[in-house]
Amino acid sequence: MVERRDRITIIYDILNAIYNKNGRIKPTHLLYKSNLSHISMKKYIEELKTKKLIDEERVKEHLFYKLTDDGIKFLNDYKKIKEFTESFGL
Amino acid sequence: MVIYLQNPPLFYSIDTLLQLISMFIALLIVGFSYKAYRFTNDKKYYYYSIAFVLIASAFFMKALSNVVIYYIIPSQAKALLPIFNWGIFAFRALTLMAFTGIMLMTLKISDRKIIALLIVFALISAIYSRDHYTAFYLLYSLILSFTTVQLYFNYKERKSRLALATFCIFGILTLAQLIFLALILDYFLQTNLGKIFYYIGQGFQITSYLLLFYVMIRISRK
Repeated sequence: MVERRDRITIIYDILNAIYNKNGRIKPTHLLYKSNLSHISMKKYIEELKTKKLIDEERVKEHLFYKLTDDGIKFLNDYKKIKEFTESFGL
Repeated sequence: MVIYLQNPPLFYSIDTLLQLISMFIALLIVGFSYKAYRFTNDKKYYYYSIAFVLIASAFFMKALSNVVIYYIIPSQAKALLPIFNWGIFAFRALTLMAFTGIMLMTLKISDRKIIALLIVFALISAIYSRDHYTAFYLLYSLILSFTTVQLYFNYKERKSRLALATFCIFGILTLAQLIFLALILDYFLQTNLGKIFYYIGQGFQITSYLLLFYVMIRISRK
């Protein structure tokens, strides 16, 4: 059975996809890595930009999404909570 | 029949210190779990933090009882004995409620009727355990055993060191309560092994809380 991802896990997956690409990713790559529909991804991207977890960057006509310091902090906090949850069987 | 099984007098100050250390470690989990709740908005972390607030309060009440009986009662005699007794009752009631909550969350019981039933049972047992030493430790060991078995399955699934450490924490804590339970045998058999049982039980208990501290430090440093 495929488990449905909750909102926070989706945000983590998006940020982690950017992190794994050295903190900068193209929208098409992110769409593929995050396993979301185009419409859903756009909504999440807007939310992450509003919360200043990611930023946009243009390099020679190409758009990139960049992880901010707050985004890195979010990833670290999430990893700790995940470890806590798994260790305590919650 | 009310049996007062008290710890060896020389151990009161060390005992109080151990209660306060355990309280501090429980409060660390309260902080972490509440932070996780604020981060994820998931209620399970909120309930987990409440369970550890109850544990920290239980240790505080136990430490307070120790202070009353060790430092005050010799001078105030019988007048303060009810405070000691109510302190012990609060410790037992809070501990049973807290670990019932932890068991419910670890076993992932979501049926509200079952949750309500188990909480009512824990409340009744807590009231009954006020005067019955064995009832408290028997129920406490039972609740911890169920949690420990579930944490063993969790470790088998996760295969992580911290999951193993958490399983060990609850396993050692269960053993500690079984040792405290064995103290009743000393009362009936007059073996004079009570003090040794008590020291071993306390040793196991503080070991489990120190291991809990280690796990929390490891998680925080990730």
